[in-house]
Amino acid sequence: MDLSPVYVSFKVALISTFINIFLSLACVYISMKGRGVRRVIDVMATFPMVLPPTFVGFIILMLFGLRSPIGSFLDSIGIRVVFTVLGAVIASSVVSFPLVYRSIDAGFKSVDASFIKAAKVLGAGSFKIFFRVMLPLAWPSFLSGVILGFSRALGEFGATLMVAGNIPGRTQTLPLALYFYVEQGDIEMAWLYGIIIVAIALAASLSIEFLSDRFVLKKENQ
Amino acid sequence: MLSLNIKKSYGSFMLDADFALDNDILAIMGSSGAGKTTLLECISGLTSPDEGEIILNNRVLFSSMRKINLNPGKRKIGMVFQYHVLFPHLTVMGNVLFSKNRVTEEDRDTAVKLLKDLNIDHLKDRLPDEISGGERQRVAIARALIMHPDILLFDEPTSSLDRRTARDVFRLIKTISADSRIPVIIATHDELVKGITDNILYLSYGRQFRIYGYPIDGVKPQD
Repeated sequence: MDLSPVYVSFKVALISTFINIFLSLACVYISMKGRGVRRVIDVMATFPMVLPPTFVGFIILMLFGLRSPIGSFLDSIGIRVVFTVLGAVIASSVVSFPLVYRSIDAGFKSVDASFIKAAKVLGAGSFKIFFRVMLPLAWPSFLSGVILGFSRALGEFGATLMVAGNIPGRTQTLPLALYFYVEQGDIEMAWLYGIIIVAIALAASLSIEFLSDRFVLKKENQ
Repeated sequence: MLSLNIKKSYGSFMLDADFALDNDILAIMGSSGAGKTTLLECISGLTSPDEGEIILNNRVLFSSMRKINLNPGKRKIGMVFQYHVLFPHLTVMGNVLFSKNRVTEEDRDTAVKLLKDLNIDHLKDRLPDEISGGERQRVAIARALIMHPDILLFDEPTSSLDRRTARDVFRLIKTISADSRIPVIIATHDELVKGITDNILYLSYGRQFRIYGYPIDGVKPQD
């Protein structure tokens, strides 16, 4: 059995999850500056969730393809996006970003305003309040967002196929491999990859459930 | 010394406060929704008055005329919130030292001394949900005192405490006031506060919202 799709999937999902953590925290931080900014970020962040992944992939292809200004510039400095792991990372990041952002944002929104007031009176600036008060209090939602985003990135199909293609050993991820084997009529292999996907999804769901339970118990004990 | 003359409205509600306070204890009494917390938040900078002036030790904290509105962190105000508002993820020591950006050994020593003075030094490594309500109140006081504030504000300091602990807390506030010689304002509807101060302002609420009486004159509730 070729395990490269597992390796490629994990690599792509891990990198895109890290990108999304950074981007989501930045967006949540900026969105706290005002309602107008928040609305713009909320709309932008929701967009990839409501669009078909294939269309998202098409947009990325148009943006980073060799014929586009960005794509040709990146190519001139030796960076290729289309049909590479980088392309798969970008596609997965864009598609899974809304889940990470929404979950982290909900966690930050649920932080009791009195903690923020107390921190302000104690002389904390917005950066300190964000990282030392809000982030620890929003930790369960943060972790849920990360796990959801990771799972979504791992299962990403449409946009990845459009941007990175299906090159075995290079850009072929688990869902692409599954599709490939079904198309070839190799149901046994398709099942094997399917079981791996189910195992990962189950682990992610259990993690979220475990974290939610811990959070609820902790809140009840307070 | 604190001198304050402010107006703040929310819809049909209007807070109109005008008083001065030396290094003494002032209790602000009134029922829920009377504007006690709003008044404390105006002093601490968490809310901006619509107009007026707040001066603390000759330092202008807020002035609508001069367009001055200092950030809460720059006002040198120690505030003890209702229900303590200790950060649940930080230990007692972590909470007390929260206001310090770079914690030095001296800060740690000061924190330990404060906790000792308040008889809670044995709790320094505990989390807030592992200690009692009265102990949390003391931690909140230590967290305010470590900033060497120019004024101490207490918002309903006894609302979640039993009568015996509430009496202890008021006695403690009186001791702190005597030791630190700074103005102390207690917003409360707990009658026990009368055991530690005669300076009481009553807030009554309605369409027009006013504070009547001055601490120097003692109790002066009016409609």
